[in-house]
Amino acid sequence: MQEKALSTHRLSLLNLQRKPFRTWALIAVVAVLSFVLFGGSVMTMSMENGIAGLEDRLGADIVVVPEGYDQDFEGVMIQGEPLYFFMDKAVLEQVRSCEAVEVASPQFYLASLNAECCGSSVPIIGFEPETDFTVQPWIVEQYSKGLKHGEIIVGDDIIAEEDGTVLFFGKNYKIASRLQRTGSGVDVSCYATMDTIADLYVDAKEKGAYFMEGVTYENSISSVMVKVKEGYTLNQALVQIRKATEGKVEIVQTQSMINSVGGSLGGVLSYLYVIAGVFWVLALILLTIVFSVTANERKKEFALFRILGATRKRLSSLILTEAFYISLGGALLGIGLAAMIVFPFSTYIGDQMGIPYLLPDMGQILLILLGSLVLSAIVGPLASAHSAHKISQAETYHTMREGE
Amino acid sequence: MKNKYVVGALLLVLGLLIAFGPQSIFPVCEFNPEKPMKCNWMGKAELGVGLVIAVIGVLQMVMDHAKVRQGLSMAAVLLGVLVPLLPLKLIGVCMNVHMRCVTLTRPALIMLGVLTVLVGGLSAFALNKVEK
Repeated sequence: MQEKALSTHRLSLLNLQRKPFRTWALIAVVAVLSFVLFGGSVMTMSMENGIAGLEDRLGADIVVVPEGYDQDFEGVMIQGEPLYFFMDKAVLEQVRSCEAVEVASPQFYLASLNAECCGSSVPIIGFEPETDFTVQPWIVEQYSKGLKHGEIIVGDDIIAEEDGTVLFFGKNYKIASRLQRTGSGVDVSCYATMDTIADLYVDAKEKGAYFMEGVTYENSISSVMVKVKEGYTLNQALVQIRKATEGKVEIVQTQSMINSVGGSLGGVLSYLYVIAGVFWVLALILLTIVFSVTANERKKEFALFRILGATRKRLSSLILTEAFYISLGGALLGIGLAAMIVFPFSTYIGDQMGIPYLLPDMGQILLILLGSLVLSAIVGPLASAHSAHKISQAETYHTMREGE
Repeated sequence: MKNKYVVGALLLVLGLLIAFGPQSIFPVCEFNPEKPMKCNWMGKAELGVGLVIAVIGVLQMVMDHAKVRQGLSMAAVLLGVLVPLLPLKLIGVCMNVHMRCVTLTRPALIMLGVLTVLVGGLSAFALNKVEK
């Protein structure tokens, strides 16, 4: 039978195996820490990515919507709520007449029926390709050349039928392109040119969709996306638009809208950072106490090692290695458990929080993984450093004679 | 000997979660009698599969013969494979990626299926060494 050398690593593992309850209890402490660190960091970054994605995607500086419908507009953009509202198309020309306005592009909102595309109602947004600056720049997959009449651009979460179409009001529409993922309501929205929207509007009316009296696709629009001309401030543009429209519309400043979403997010993020910090300090304190107590209990065991020829350095490295194995085991367990929750359930978490939520890319995930692993794995050796030093300095003779 | 109770208890808990989770803890979409959705049928299928896994868990605790327990563990592995296949391929879930059955039920069942395969597989592997 081959005998294995009693190296520091093997001795540490044997010591840990000898006290399974204590080992697993300490692993659990570090696992909780790494769970919070990894899970919290992935969630934090997903929320930040979501807000940044929405900010990029909105594109417009100002959005003009009917009076009292600013919250509904947020609902469409952030949650992808299938809401529609209309105002007189004359507003578009009024906005365009403002000196501070560089581009003003109209949009027309519809909502699909529940039982058709995608299993539930989704927003269908009509846009004007000639003036649009908020939809077309975000096309990532082009399935056909240009957007023709009867074709649709879809958000990343829209699932096509087997023939590459989507069903709206009893008719199939070909998907021409797919938009970049944002983690917001844009992912569940569909976009079409105004002439396709005209067909959809007629079909929607035939299927029983309710539109307020006087609303037609020819004389109504839902919103105007506005880009402010260089050299003009946002406030100047706001004043001019308000004057031109005689204050009969709601003017949404996209930055304020993002700030209001991001503002509530700021609170959540600070809590997450504080909780992660508190857990790290608590784990350090708890492990320091446990290592100190157990090192005290094992004084005679270490003195015996000294008698058997172990150097002082060997004793301290034995304690540090045991602590490192505990931390590494806990870190891997905690990160593994967190990964089993934050990745498969990411859509559910985002939906529950009601804010744009976009998972970090692979590079960011690897960085978070590395950071959490290092922070969790060093907690054990740090906590046991004092005990390791104390044990290595103890006098063997006095330790063995203690209590006599 | 102690392992048979641990494996049995784990399979029992996993089986019950697979059987009743889609109706309670991680529910599928609400049942609409006019237009029942795929996820409703998938939930019912998981009820059957989960209950069989739970019964295997009980049998693991009752049976003494190692080879019988190994056979039961192998059956648990096969059923564990079936658990994620039902929402992913065989029946499916709703189309809208934001529906509860897609965001919650499906990932939960995939995870429980993987755990069932792991528990059953490790048990079968460990019992391979036992001669009885």
